[in-house]
Parts: sequence; C-alpha cells; structure tokens
Amino acid sequence: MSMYTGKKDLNKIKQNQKSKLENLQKCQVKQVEQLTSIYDVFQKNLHQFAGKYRDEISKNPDFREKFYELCDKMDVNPMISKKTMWSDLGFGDFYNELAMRILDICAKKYSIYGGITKITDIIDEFRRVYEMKVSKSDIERAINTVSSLGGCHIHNKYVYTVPLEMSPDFNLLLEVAEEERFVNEKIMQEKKGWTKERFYQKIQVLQREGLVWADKKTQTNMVDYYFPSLLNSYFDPLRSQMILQQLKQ
Amino acid sequence: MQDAQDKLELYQKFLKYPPFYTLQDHKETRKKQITQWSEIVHLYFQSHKILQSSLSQMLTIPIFSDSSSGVLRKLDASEIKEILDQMAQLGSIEWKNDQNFSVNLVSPFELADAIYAWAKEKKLIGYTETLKGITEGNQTDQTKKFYDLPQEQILKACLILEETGRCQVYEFDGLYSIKFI
Repeated sequence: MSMYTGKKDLNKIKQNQKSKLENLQKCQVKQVEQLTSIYDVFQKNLHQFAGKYRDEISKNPDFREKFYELCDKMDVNPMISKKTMWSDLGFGDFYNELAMRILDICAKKYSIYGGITKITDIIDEFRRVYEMKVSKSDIERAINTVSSLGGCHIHNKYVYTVPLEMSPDFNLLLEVAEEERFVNEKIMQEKKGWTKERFYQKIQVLQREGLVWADKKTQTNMVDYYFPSLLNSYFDPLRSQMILQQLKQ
Repeated sequence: MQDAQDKLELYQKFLKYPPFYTLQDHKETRKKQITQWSEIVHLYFQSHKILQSSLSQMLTIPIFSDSSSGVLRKLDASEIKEILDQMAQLGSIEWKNDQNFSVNLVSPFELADAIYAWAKEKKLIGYTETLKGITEGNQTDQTKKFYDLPQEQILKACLILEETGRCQVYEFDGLYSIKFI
C-alpha cells in the first residue's frame, strides 16, 4: 500500500475539515445566541431590581456597593449618560452629581490642602454638610466617571485636583508622612535610602505648590516637613494615644 | 453658622500643628499663613476684650507658643511684628507709634465673612461686582455689617477674601472689581 494519498483523498480530507469547521462555527453562533439571550434576560431583571430598590441603593452605601459589584461582574454599566434604559432610572445622574459635590469640597478646602484631599475628609464633609452617607467606592466611581475630562483623578487614599503631576517620589513622600506624621532628610534616608539631594529637590517642588510646610523649630538640627493634606490624621485620637505612650517611654 | 464654627475648629488645629509656628519661606504660602495668624490674633483680642496693646505685651500672650507635641515652639518678636504689620494692613489694628497699637472694633475678618455670605445669598459666586456695587448695592439690606462703610475698609475685607481663596480683586485705573469664587 502506498503512502501517497491521491488527489481524490486530499479533497475528501479538505471537505471533512471544512464541514467540521462549519459545524463548529454553527455551534459557536448558537452558543453566542444563547448567551446573548441569557444576558438580555439578566439585564432586564437587574434593571427591574434597580428600579424597585432605587431608594435603598441611593441611601445605603453597602447595598449600593453590592449592586455595583454585580453590575461590574456582568459588564453592565448603569452610569452611562446616553439615553438608555438605565439613564431614565437616573443612575448616571447620581454619580455625576456626586462628582460635582466632591470637586466642590476639594475646591473649598484647596487653600489648606493645596489640591490633595484625603478621601476620609471628603466622606466626613458629606456627612456634615450634605447629611449623606458615601463610601470610598462611591467616591472612586464618581471621580472615575469625570476624570477623563481632566483636572482631577483619584489614587490610593486621595482625590487629586492639583496641577502638579504626582510622580512616584511624591507619592512615596506622602506615604511616609502618613506613617511618621512628617518627613525629613533622615527619615527618607533610613526608610527609603534617599540621598539628601533627592529629598530636597522633591521637597522644594512640593513647597512651591503649597503642599508641604516646613517646621524649623524642631530643636534638633533637622527641618521636618508636613503635608497639610494630612492635618486631620495628625490629630487622630488613636494616633495621639500612641504618641503619648511613645513620649512616656 | 457652620462656616464660622468650621473656621474656629481649623484654627484650634493650626495652633497645635508644629509647622504653623514656622513662617513659611514660600511667598504665597507665607502670605496665607500670616493672614490666618492675623485672624487668630484678632479673635484673641475680641474674646479678651483687648482694645490696645504693644509689641512687648504681645511677646507674653500664650497663643504664640505651643508645647502639645512635647517640644516648645513659639513665634519670635520679628515674626509677631510681621503678623501685626499685616493686621495693620488689613485694618484690624492701627499703629500709634513704633510699639503701641489700638484694635479696631469692626473686625475686617468678620466684614469679609459678611460680604462673602451676602455674595452667596445674592448668587454672585462666579460673578464680578464692583467695589461700589458691594457698598451701595445692598441699599435694601441696611442690616448688613458692611452697609455704608468707607470703601477702603471694604477693599481691605475683600483682600482678606482673596487671601483665603474666596475672591479675586482686580484694579483698573483706580477702580476695583471683585470676582467671587
């Protein structure tokens, strides 16, 4: 028997492969159709659910969070502003309005915080001024919907409305200041291996933006630098207790 | 009022905040800081009913020092003088000579707050008003603190608003306009 497969056989193989491929494609199309109709049903149900629990969603941050998690998983976005079945439930408006209020708060506090506003301070302000409970994820969602317009973004624990580009070095200084309450040349050298030059170069830029204040009255030969954006953390009662204990030792 | 209460709380925090006792090198930050100190000192005068004082007496008042951090920090004489000079500029005190000064009963800081509250009420935030318009534009509101006061006093109050990020002052040919933020 010869190994050679004649032209007739080659065509037959090709024909088999072709019909297998066609069957596979038909199967896939059917699967996609089924999934699409499941997805449609789910969307409709979710929409109904959202309409029924609208009040709860707007009042309760935990409930709201779970609802949006579900939306995320199914790649449903109720926050788009184009006219869709979602926009008439007003969900898009909720986060747009929230974003405007957040930016109002950041603007109001700008003369102290210089454009770096702590999320916990924003949450506090909502509670006191608007008597509204908002969560960190609410603020993240709200800012993310408007950050494409430029001028603001959210990262880690802060909303940034500062024209300065927050490089990794600046973020690092902020992080260390969170832990130590302030930064100085020695702390940055010991904790992050920074040279004196690197430290003062960065600190100068931050001073020029009004984001950092110097404390020259430390009674050591070191100047400490504070971020007024962290003003409230400085007076955190738990932290104060910790400091008092440290002073006693 | 909520805003006034917030301001007091903020100042109470500043007075225990170590870097507040160092006058900042950066020009704009320093100016803002000195305006904050000026209002704190004026509030101190009001609550202690101080109508006149002197530079040497100022060196003894408790608000210029703080040791809540465990380390004593205080403002020295030249720093206090800088604050007092700014207070004179803002119309909060008047120098009688090198050493002595009197305290104005009408606080320019309160005037500033009253003007801003009025601007909010009249929905002027984001808009520009002339200096004249502010003093005369409230003719129907004779209860307003700044009704019929000399323009120079109003201007100084507006400068305080500028320093605290609440307005911008424009001058052209001797005429002033105020844009509320």
